[in-house]
Amino acid sequence: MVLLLRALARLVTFLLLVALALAGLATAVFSLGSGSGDFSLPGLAQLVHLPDLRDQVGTLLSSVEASGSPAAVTALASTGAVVLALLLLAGALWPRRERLVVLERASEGTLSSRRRALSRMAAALVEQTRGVTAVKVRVLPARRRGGRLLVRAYHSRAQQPQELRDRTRQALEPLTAPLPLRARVRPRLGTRGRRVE
Amino acid sequence: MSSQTEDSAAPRPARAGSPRSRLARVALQAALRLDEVGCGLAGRGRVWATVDAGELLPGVVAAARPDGRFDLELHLVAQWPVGSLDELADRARVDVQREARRTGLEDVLGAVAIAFEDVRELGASGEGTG
Repeated sequence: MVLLLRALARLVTFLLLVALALAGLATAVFSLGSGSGDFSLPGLAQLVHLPDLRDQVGTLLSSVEASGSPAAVTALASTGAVVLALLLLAGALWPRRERLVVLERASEGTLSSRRRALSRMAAALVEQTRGVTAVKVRVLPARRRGGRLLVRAYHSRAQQPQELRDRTRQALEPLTAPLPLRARVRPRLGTRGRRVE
Repeated sequence: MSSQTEDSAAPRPARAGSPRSRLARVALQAALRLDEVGCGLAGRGRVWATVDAGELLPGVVAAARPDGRFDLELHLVAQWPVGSLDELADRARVDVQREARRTGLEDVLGAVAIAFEDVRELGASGEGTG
């Protein structure tokens, strides 16, 4: 959702900037001329039908002042515009998820790892667990240090989920014991085709 | 055009690197000597790389500190199987310090930050080992 909003915000920003650049260029070119001919700022206003627009806006504003259907439509459209603006703001300002997990900070230097590296390590460890047929790992970095490993371990019907969870936690200890990482293991009954490669 | 080709084909004279770039080279070489470190990663746009004596060293960045030392960042790809990331980082740090001492660069060595960018199986292709 946030990715979609971010892409939408970028697209709208780009289009608005293009429109602004074109408007600025047109204004600059037409300001070279003088008087009230075609090649002047009043001429540009005539060209883009600004007087007509002023009349239409005036009509709209007077109809909005009165109660009735136009007022309701305008209120609805305004609410929609506000919501859209808030969504675009969220898309532009929502903080990106950090891809780096800081594992240790010391005077000698920091130790950090990409989420992908940690998830691959965790998956490799869990795949060696007895009874696990497939595994999916997501890494969620904490704000300051460490993070969480969300492990989905698929198993066959012959396996007890609780035992599998314990074994999987044990398999992850090379990662979770020395490093500030917490593992949440969710055993799932494997479906056809899910096998450890 | 042909003269340019000839120039690039001719052996380049050895250029002495700065203490910063020499430290970066020493640190990267020390880290890469570890079995569990596959290669250094230059990253997108080669932002994690240092040029020393005309050679690009992928996976190491040296940044000057006000006290005259250089903080190092090593962006490494670990090679599976890896026992423990923190032990590996400690060993890499100790090796970097030892090599800096051996090459007379100990006085300019600051903090050594280590980032594991990926984990690869043995034999998988890497992005340059510097």
